[in-house]
Amino acid sequence: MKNRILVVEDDTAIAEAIGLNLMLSEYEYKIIDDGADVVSYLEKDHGFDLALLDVMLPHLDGFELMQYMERYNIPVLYLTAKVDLASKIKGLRLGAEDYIVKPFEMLELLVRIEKILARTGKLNTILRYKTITVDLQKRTVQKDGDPVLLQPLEFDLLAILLKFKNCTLSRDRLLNEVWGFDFAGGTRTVDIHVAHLRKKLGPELNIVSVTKLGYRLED
Amino acid sequence: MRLITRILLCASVLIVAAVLISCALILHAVDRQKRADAIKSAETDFSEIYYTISNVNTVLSDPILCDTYMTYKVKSASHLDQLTLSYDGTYLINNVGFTPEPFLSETSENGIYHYVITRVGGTLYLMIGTDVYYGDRIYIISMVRSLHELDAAMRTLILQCVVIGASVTVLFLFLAWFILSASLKPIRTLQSGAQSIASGDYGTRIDIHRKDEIGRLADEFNTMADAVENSISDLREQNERKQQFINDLSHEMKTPVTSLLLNSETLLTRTVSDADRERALSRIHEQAEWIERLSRKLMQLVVLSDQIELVLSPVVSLFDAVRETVVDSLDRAGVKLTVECNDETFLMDMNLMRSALVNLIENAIKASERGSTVELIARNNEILVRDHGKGIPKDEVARVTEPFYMVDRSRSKKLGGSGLGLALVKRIAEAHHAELVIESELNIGTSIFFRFSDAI
Repeated sequence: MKNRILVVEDDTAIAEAIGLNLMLSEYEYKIIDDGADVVSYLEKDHGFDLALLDVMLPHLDGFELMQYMERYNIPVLYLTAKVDLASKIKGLRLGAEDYIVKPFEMLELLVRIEKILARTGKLNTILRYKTITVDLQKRTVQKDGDPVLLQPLEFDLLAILLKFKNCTLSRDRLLNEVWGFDFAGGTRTVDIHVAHLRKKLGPELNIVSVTKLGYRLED
Repeated sequence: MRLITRILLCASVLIVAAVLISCALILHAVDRQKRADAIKSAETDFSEIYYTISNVNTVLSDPILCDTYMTYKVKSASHLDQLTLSYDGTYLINNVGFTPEPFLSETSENGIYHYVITRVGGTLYLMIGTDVYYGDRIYIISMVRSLHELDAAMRTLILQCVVIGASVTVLFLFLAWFILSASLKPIRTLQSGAQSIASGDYGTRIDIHRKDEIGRLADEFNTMADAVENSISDLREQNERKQQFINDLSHEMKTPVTSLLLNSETLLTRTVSDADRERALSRIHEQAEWIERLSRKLMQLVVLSDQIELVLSPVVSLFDAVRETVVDSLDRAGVKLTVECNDETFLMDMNLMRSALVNLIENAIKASERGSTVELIARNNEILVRDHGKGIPKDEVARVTEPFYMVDRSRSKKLGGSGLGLALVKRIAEAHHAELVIESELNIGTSIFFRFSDAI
C-alpha cells in the first residue's frame, strides 16, 4: 500500500512540483491550498501518513492547523519561507516532526519525508521492482522468489536507488547516503558497487548512467 | 589643565602681586616716617649737645688741658651713653663700642653735622657727627643712636603684612574657587549631556535655566540636540523602512525561486511524462515572468525620483493614453470605463502619471464584477479612479500602499500581482507633490484620489 501525504501549500507552482515528485516516488498525495479547506477536508478523509504544511496560508495558517493534525495523529513537516529562529522553534514546539526552509531541494524533502515515515513506523518496508522484492526490515532481496545475496553496502545502494526510482542521484549524494559523510574513498567506489549490483541482479535492474550527474533506476 | 585650575592660578598670581605691592608701599611709607621722626629727634638732641659743647668761654692752649676740658664738656652733656669724642683718630670718649668715624667721614663737611643710618653688626644705628674747633685743635663729636626699636617695629609690621596678605590671598582664592565652581557647574552638565548624546542617548536635554551666556549656550545646545534627534530618528525610520522593504522583498522572492528550483530540479533529475514536463516548463516560465515583472517594478521604484520631469500637460491627452493601454484588460474582464474631464491641465510627468493611472485601473478591474463600471475623473485639483467592486476592509486601507502588502494574498498572486503597484502609485503621487487619498467601503467600491497641492 502506498503512503498518503497531504500537501497544504497555496502556491500552485510549488504544490504541483511537490505533487509530481511525490507521485514519481510512489506516494499518494492530496493538494489543498487554503487553511480552512484543510479542516473541512479532514472531517471526511484523514487517512494520511504525513502532512507537508506551508506556514503562510489563507484563513488558517500552518501553526493553527497543527491541532487538527494532532487530532487525527498526522505527523507534520513544515515548509516555510520564514528563516527566523523563533518560528522554527514555534513549529517544533507545537509538535512538528521537522521543518524545511524555502527554497529547498526536492531530493532533500523526499529524504526527510522518508525519515519521518520510518520514524513513525509508517514507511512501506517492502519495495517491489519488476520481479525483484526488497524487504528493508529483514534486509533481504528476492528475485523471482529466489534469494539474492548482497553485501550490506550493496543492499543499501539498491535500497536508495529503489526509493528514489526515476530520480537521478549524483555520485556524491549516493556516497553521503550509503557510505556516510566521513567516507574517505572516491566516487569510483559507487561505480564499482553499481557494477556488482548489475552483475548480481541481471539486466532486469535498469540502472541508467546519467552523464556528469550520476545514476538513475528506471522502470 | 582644567579651566578652573588655570583661572585660579592666574588669579592667585595677580592677588599675590597686588598684596606684595601694597605691603611694600605701606612698609616703605611707615619706614620713611619712622626714620624721619628718629632723625628729627636725633638732630634736636644733637644740636642741643653741640650748643652746650661749642659754648666755650675759656680758650686753653695746652693740648692736654684742651682734651681734658673737651672731655669734661662732653661728659656733662646729655645722652652721654651715645656720644663719642675723638681727636685726630684717637677716641677720648667712646661709649658705643665701635668707631663711628669711618661711617661719618664720608659725609662730614665743613664742620656741619650730617647724619647717616647704617647697620653695624646687625643693629641699625643713626649716627650724627660734627667737627668742633677748640683753639687750634679740631675734635670730632658724634652721636650714635641705636634704632633697634624702629627695626623691631618694622619687623613686626612685615610679619603682620605677610600674615594678613597670606590670609587675604587664601580667603580670596577660596571665594574665587567657590564662585567659579558654582558658575562652571553648568559647563559640566553640558559636558555630560554632550557625552550622553555622543554615546547614542539622543533624548538627552540640558536642564539649565539661566539668563547668562551659559543659559543661552544650554538653550542652543538643546535646540541642536532636538535637530540631531529628529534627523537621527528620521534616518532610523528610513533605514527601518528600507530594511523592512528588503526583508519583504527577500521573503517575496522565496516562493517563485522555490518553485523555479523545484520544477527545474524535477525536469533535470526525473523521468516524467510529456504532459508533466509541459506543465513544469510552463510553471517555470510563469514564475520567471513574475520575477521579471517584479524587478521591473522595483527598478521603477528605485529610479523614480531621478527621471521625473514635471510639465504642464492637458489631462485629456493623459486620459486618452491611459484608455488606450487598458482597453484590452477592460474587454477581457467585461468592465466598462467612463472618462470625465474638461480642459484641466496639471503639472505632471505624463509617462509616470499614465503608469500610475493604469495601475489603479487594473486594480479596479480586478476588484470589479463583470459588467460593472470603472470611472476615471479629473476635476478642480484632483484626478480619481472609482470602481464599484468589492472594496477594501477598513483596517487595511492604510496598509495597502505598503510594499508587498496584499489584501487577498493568494488571489492577487494568482492574478500575477506583485504587491508593489500601490506603493509605486504612492511614490508617483509624492513625486508630483500630490496626496494619494483612498476611500473605500466593502462591497460598495473604492475611490483613489490624486490630490494635487496647487490648483492650476
